[in-house]
Amino acid sequence: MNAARDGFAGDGCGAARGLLHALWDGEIGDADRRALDAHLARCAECRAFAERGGALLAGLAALPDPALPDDALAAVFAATVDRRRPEEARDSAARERRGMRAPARRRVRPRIVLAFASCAAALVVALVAADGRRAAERERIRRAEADANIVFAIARGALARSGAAALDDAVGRGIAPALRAAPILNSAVDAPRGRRN
Amino acid sequence: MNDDAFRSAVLEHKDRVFGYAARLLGDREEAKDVAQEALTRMWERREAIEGGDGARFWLLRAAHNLCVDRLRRRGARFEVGDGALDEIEAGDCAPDRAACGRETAAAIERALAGLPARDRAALLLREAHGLSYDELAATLGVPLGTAKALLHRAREKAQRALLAAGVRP
Repeated sequence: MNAARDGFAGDGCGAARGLLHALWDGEIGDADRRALDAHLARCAECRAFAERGGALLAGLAALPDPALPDDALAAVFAATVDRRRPEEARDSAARERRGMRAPARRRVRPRIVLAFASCAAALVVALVAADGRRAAERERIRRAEADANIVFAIARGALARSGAAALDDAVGRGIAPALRAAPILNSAVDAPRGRRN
Repeated sequence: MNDDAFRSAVLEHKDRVFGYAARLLGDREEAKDVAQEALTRMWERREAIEGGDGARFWLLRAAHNLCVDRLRRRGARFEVGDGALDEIEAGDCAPDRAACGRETAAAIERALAGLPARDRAALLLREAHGLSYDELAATLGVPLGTAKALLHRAREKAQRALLAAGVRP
């Protein structure tokens, strides 16, 4: 081939084949493309090289891939995205061998959970309130018993004094006012504690 | 890459990875192991891998490295003789890539099988699987210029193999 006539320095065919690789890579400029076309128009050997090369690259780009066997694909998913705990995998395999379906998981219904929670909360409130009421009642009883003890103590003091006159005097001037002041005999349960003193 | 993206990437690239390994190793059983291992490794590295082309490049590179390890265990060089590429029949083809003519595909398979493994890897990675030169260089572990020169020589060797086999364009 005449390198000077093709516009290539040195080996014209070697330069043309270098440009063919650039062409196949999509990296050839306009001037090089014109020089290459001029060479190919005159060189049957390089033209055949170009045609074979084009066919090879097209064939490689369309080369079909064999399908990965299903067992390999299943193994990949089992070891990665579908990975489960060993006992679950063992149970599942056993069920599959027996032709059984996996048991359906119990589904927890939110409404039922909410109803249970509401009932539990109401029960707690009621117990607290009842306990509070019982405590108040116990306090009132304790105070009434204390008042009664005071009355009986006064009575015992009066009885200790001798003579009917002393007793009469005590009834008229000691016990009677004390009885009037005793809250248990004078609506003491409902009266505020402070008002008695 | 989340679970769904991983699953999609596996389904999209599984045949590509298996086919690349089968052609490079010339052994379908070994190729199955390689594909399985590469796909599983992608799961372990999924946080650092983007889907689509990122997964394609990552998987091909992983498969290539696994194949090179196996080839070296066979004979200390990144070389392999005629393999079992002829065993890959049109019936095995993925539907979307089955358009290739059976005769041309068979001739190219034979031409590939006669090449050294390194040349075969360069041709497959660049021309069949569309890696860029940068990706090709990274996968082969060579500088960019070396990757280009390697690919150009591989193209010419494959051409000569096709010519010797009587294939005419």
